[in-house]
Amino acid sequence: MARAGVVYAIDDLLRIESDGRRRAVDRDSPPVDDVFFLENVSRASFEIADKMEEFGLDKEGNFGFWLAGAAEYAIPIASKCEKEKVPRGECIVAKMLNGEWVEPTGDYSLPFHGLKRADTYSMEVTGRRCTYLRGEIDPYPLSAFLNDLTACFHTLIDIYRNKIGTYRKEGKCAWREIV
Amino acid sequence: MERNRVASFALIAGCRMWDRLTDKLRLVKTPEDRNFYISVDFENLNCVIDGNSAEVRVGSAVGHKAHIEIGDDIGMVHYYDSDRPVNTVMYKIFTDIGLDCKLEENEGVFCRGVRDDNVRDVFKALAMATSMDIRLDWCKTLSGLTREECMAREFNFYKRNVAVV
Repeated sequence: MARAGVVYAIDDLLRIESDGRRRAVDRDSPPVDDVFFLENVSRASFEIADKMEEFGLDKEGNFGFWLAGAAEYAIPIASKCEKEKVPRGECIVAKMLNGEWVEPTGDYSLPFHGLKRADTYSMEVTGRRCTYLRGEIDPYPLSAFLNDLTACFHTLIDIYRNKIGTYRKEGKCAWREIV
Repeated sequence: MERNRVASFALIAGCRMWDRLTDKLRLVKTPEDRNFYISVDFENLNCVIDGNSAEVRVGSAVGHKAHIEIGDDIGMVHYYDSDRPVNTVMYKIFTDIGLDCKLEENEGVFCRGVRDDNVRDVFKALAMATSMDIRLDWCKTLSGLTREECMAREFNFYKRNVAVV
């Protein structure tokens, strides 16, 4: 039986991307409701990755799965900073310590390394990494992470649009259009 | 892997009808003065069409789906549900349409014979599947009818209000 899962119209995905850009540039505000944005990116990326695999696009699928993971891993950090009212620009996702990118607690930074894996697959699929700030600035705050995550999500949307095609949605119905 | 398949017009038309029908049924009240669909089920309804097949999510449970394939030889609908009374009613509805069905009480109803000219009826049947387990429970507990009478009430509602749409 064919799997369908959730089908995202490109417009829905672009709305999520737009939300990410808005949050990323707002460095001085606490990450209010960033958890919901991260959940949206994670869910959409996972569903797209699943669809990619269904079409035999394993590398593209892995790119999406790691992006979903990176977003998911960042949820506890965003949640903590929201509770403590720490602005995105000061909410640290990773910093360099003894040659390792770690969280402020000293723990291995899962969001940072999740994005790193996504970057690896982005290189394989598109020939370039999808992040701009990861590994370039230290410490690596949530605002930079959101910027990178959103940029990678944009890359995923492009791949989805070009390789799978788009679905037309009408009410509760969706169907794949000719690409 | 098959790419760039054009979605079947019959499936699109059937889906559109199901979309409108479920919108209308949402406003219907049961004899127990309950909504025909519970909101969590209604909000999860969707149908994805790919070529000559469609996957229809008919409820909030992840696996509560139906898979439709149209074609002269391969046409079929697989309705997946673990609820025995619901499966029994759905079996009765699908066979009433004229499909050749097999009832697997704990798995669902599996039918052959879905074509361009009857897929619309299949979508009508699927509109009944949503929240039917809840309606049967309400019927039994609030109206005092037997399970069999409640199942018959579902089928009669289908014949009077849905099949004729």
